[in-house]
Amino acid sequence: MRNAWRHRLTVLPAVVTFLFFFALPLCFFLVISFWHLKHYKLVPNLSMDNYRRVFEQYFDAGVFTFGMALLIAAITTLLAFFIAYYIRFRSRRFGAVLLFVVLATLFGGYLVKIYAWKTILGTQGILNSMLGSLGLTQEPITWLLYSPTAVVVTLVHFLVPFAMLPMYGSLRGVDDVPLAAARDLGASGRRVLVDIVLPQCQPGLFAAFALSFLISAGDYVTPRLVGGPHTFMVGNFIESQFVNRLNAPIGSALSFTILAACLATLFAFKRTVAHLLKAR
Amino acid sequence: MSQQDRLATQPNEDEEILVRLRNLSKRYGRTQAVQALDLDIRKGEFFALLGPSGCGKTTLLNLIGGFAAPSTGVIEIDGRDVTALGPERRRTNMVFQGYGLFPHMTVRQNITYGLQIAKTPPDETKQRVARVTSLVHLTDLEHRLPAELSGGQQQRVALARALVMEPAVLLLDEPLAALDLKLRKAVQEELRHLHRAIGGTFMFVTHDQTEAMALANRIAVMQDGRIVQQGTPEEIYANPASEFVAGFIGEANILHGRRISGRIELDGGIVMADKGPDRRVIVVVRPDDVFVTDETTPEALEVALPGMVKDRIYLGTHDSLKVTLDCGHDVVAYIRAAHGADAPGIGDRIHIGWHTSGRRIVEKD
Amino acid sequence: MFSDRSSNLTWHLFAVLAMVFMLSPLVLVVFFSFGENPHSTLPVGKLTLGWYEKLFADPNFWRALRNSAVVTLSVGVLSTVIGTLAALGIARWRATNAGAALTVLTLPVMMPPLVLSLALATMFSTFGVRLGLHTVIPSHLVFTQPFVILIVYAQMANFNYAIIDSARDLGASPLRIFFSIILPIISPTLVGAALIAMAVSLDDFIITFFTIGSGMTLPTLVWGMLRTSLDPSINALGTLILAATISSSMLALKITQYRG
Repeated sequence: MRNAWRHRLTVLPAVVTFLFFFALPLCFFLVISFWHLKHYKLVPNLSMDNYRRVFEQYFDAGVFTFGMALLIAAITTLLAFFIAYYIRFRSRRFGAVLLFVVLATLFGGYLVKIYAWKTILGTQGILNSMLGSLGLTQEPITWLLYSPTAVVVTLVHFLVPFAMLPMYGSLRGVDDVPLAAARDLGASGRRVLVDIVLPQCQPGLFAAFALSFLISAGDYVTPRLVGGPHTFMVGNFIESQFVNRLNAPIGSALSFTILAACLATLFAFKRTVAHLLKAR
Repeated sequence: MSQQDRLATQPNEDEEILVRLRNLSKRYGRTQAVQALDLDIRKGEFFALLGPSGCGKTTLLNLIGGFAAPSTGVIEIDGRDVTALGPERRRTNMVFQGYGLFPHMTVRQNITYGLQIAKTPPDETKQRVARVTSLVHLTDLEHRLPAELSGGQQQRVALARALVMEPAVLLLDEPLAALDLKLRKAVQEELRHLHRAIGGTFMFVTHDQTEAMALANRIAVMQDGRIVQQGTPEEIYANPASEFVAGFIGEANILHGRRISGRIELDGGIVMADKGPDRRVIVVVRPDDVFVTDETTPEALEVALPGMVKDRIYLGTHDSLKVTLDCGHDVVAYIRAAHGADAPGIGDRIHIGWHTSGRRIVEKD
Repeated sequence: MFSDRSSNLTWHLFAVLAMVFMLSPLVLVVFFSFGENPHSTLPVGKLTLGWYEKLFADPNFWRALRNSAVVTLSVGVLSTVIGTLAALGIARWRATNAGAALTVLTLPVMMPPLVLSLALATMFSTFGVRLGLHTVIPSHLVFTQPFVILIVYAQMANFNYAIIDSARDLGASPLRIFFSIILPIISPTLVGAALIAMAVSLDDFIITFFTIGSGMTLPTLVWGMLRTSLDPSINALGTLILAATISSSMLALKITQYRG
C-alpha cells in the first residue's frame, strides 16, 4: 500500500505541469470561445455567436485547410511508411544510415527548414537553376514557391521524421517469417504488403497520420513564409484574429472548431483503415 | 493429374523422382552455404536433411522452397525447371521454424489464405479446409487467433496452412525444435500418421539425429554445404561413410589407428585383421556392440582389452559404462540394467571387447 | 527473403532520393553560410566566415543566445527530473492504467502548437501574469516532459525489479536504492532523454513566440530575420541551430542506443 502511494506520488509533478500548463489553459480557452469582446475586453457570456461567425466567415478557409492537411498527412504517412519499410525489410546497411539521418534531423530547425525550402524553391532557387542548367526548363517555374505546393513540400519534409517514429516502431514489431509464409502460399509482393504487413502496423499508420494531420492543420508559419499571398490556412486566421485584432474569442472558436473537425476526421480515418485492412 | 488424384496416390511409385537438384550451390558473400550439390527426392518419401547448425541444410530447404536464388545449378520439381521461380510460383509449401502464422488472422483465415489467393471456388475451399482441419484436429479452434493457441496447436495450424495447398513437396524447417520433449513425441507420431494418410512427399530439416531416424525413410547427412551420405536410417546407422557421420548419427566409440599390410593397429597396440590399402583409418564401435567380459581371451570376441570403469550412469533400460582402457582410449559400453547386481562398479578392473560384425572400419579422409 | 533484383534497385533508388530529400535543405543552409553569395543562390561564391562575423557582431544574437541557453538548460533539467519521476512511478502501475496515463500525458505533443500557445497566452494575460522567460519555461516543459517520460518508461518496462528487491533485502532504504541502484543503471537513458528535451525546447518557435513577451530566443531571432529582410547571416544562425539540435539528438541516439 505504501508503495502504491509512492508510485502515484512521483507522477504528481508531471501531472501538475500537465494540468496547469495544458489542461487548464485549454479549458479556459474553450470557455472564452463562448465569450465576446467589448472595447478590447473579454466579457463572460454563453453564446454561440463566435461559432456562427466562424462558419460564416471561415468555412472556405476551413475546407481548404482540411484539404491541405489531408494531402500533407497522406503524403507524409506514405513516405514515412515506405522509408520505414525500406529500413526494416530492404536494406541492412544503408537503412541504418537512413534511419539515423531521419532521427537526427527530427528535433532540429523548424524555421531553418522552412527557410531552406524558400531558397530551394524560389525562382532564383537551387531547383530552378538546376533544371535550367540541365536544359529541362526554359524559364524558371514560378509556382514552386509562394504556392500551396511549397507548403506541402515544406511540411512533408518537416513531418516525415515525426511520422517515422511510430511507423518504424510498429514495422519493427512485424515478424519476417509470416511474410515468407505468405509468399510461399502464393501471395505476390503487393499482396503480402496489403494482407500481412499493413494490418499489423495499423497503430503506427494511425499515429503517423494523426500527428502529421494535426500539426499541418494547425500550422500557420509555413503558409505564411512559403505559401504566398493567397495560401491562407486556418492557422493564419487564428493567429491574425489573435495578434492583429486581439479577438481571442473568435480565435478560440476557430481553434476548437478545427480541432473538433480534426478529431472527427481522425476517427473516421481510423475506422476506414481498420475496415479496409480487416482480414477476410 | 488433378490435385485430388495426386492426394489419393499412394507412395508406391518409388522410382519417380519429384525433386531433382543438380550442381546446386549458394554463396553468401565469402561463405559457401551449399556446394555443388546433387540430390534426388522420390515421390512419397519422407526425407530428412540432417546436419549440425551451419551445415547449409536450411539454406538448401530455402533454395527448394524458392526463398533464395541459387548461385549455380538447377532445381526441378515434378520434371519442371523452377530455378528462376519465386516461392509463390512453386508447388512447394513450407512449415516454417517458429511457424510464421499471420498474427492478425484467425486459424481459419490463416488456413484459407493460400486458397483465397489461388481464387479457389468457395465450395472447394470449404471442403479442403474441413478435411485438413479434421486431419490435424483443429476443428474446434478455427476462430481463435494464433496468440491464443499453445505451441503444439500453432504448429498444427502451420501444417494445415501448408497442407491445404496440396503441395507437391511439403517442406518442414526444424518442425519439432520449438516443442517440449513430450509434445515432440506426439507430433512425431502425428507427422508419420499424416504422411501415411495423405501419401505426399515430405522433406524436413533437422539437427537432431533421433528425430531424423524416427521420422524419415531416407536421410541425407550434410556437412559444410555438401551431402556426405544418404540412405535409409538403418544403412546410415550401420554403415557410416565417414568419421563425421559416425559421430553424428547415434553414439559411437571412435578409435584412431592405421592399416598396415592387412592389419589395423590402434594407438596402444590393439590389433585387428582387415584387408585393404595401407592408410589411416578409424574404427567405429557402437556402445551397444561393446561387451564386458572377465576372460582375457574370449573365443567369440575379436579383441579383449583390459581397463578400469571410470563412470557408470543408470539410464533405465540400460547402464552406460565409461571405461578407460589401459592403452589410454576411453570407451563407452551399454550393458543391460537387469544384470545390475553383478555388473561392474566404478573402479572395477574389467575387460571389454567386440565382435568383428560389431565394428566398422572407416577410412580417414 | 525477397530476391527480386529489379525491384530491389527501385527500392535503393527510392531510399537515395528520400535521403536527398531529407538532407539537401539542411546541407544547403550550411553550404550557404560559408559562401560569399548573399542571395542564397548558386553559385555559392568564395569561402568566407563573414556571415558568422556579422552574426557575432549583432548584440541581438548574444541576447537571444543567452535566453535560449537559460530556457534550454532549465527545461532540460526540469523535464528530466519531472519526467523521470513520472516514468518511474508509471512503470510500476498496471499495464492498462500505465497506457492510459502515457496517452494523456503525451497529448501536448499532438496538440497543434498554435492552439496551445494561444491558450497559454490567453491564460497568462487574463490572470495578469507578466510574460518572460519564466512563462516560456513551464510552457515548454509541458511538451518536452512527454519525450522524457516515454524514453525512460521504455527503459523501465524492461527493468529487472529483482535487483531492487535484493537491494531491499540487503537493507537499503528506498532513497538509497534510487541513488545507488536505479540511477546508475538508467543514467545513460536520462542523459539521452535530457538531450532530446533540450533539442525540442531549443527548436521551438511558436510556443516561445506567444509566451515570451518582448524578449527573444534564437528561433524568434530567425523569425525576425525572415520577416524583415533577407539577411544572409540567417544561414550562419541556422547552421548554429542545426549543429546544436542535430548534435544533441545524435548524441542522445548514441547514448540511448535508440534505433527507432
